[in-house]
Amino acid sequence: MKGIKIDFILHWLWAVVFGLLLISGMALMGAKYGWLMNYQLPLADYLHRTLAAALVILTLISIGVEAGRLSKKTPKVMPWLVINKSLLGIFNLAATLLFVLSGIFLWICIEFSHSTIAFAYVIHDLVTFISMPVVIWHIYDKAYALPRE
Amino acid sequence: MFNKSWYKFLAWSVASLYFLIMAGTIAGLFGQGPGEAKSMLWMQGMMQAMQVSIMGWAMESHETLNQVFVKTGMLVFPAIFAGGLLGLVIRLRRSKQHEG
Repeated sequence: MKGIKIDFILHWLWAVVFGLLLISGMALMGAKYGWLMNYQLPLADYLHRTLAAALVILTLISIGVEAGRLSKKTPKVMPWLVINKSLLGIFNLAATLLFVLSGIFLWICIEFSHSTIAFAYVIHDLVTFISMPVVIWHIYDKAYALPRE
Repeated sequence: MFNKSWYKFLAWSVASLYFLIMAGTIAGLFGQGPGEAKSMLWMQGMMQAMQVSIMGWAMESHETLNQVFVKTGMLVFPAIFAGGLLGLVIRLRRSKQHEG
């Protein structure tokens, strides 16, 4: 465990949290996907909301680390960082912002009109369906990090 | 590090989780509908979630807390715009410095 860097920890924490958010979110999305969590929707709801808060914290830390890295004259190399100047890093930032903003609307839905909630649902679901193949593509792209023996 | 057993376990577990989600989504999208029994099971789960989980609590009116969220949400959009603008200004200034 020696020599483990912050970008590595953030990357894998992000991956676990986002994966659990996806599976709990899909179970909540509709009866089609409820089997993913054996229709244990109270658990799915509890997981989804608490992990969403964790993802916001992880995002803020990642943005802070990246901003700190870029502000230096000779930026350190942080290959595992989730938010960076690469295409995937920018996608992560944009997708997380959309998830968080639409998620806030959905969480406190009582304060907003039905059309606002419906729009937030569409955005939240759409970003989910876009981000899933992106993650799968990322796993294939970085398959050399998956040891086979 | 790629050869450490804890790393192998972590990487393969997380990758498997994502493949399970993707497979489940494809099965849900293109498979048969859930049927009446499964739909009822899901509805019951939602009712339970409203009773015992955060969902029900969130649907009650929490005047002050909700207002904090609403106000924060309204601040977020200008903050993002200002952040983007600031980033652009810094980038342009740096590129001018490099040219000079």
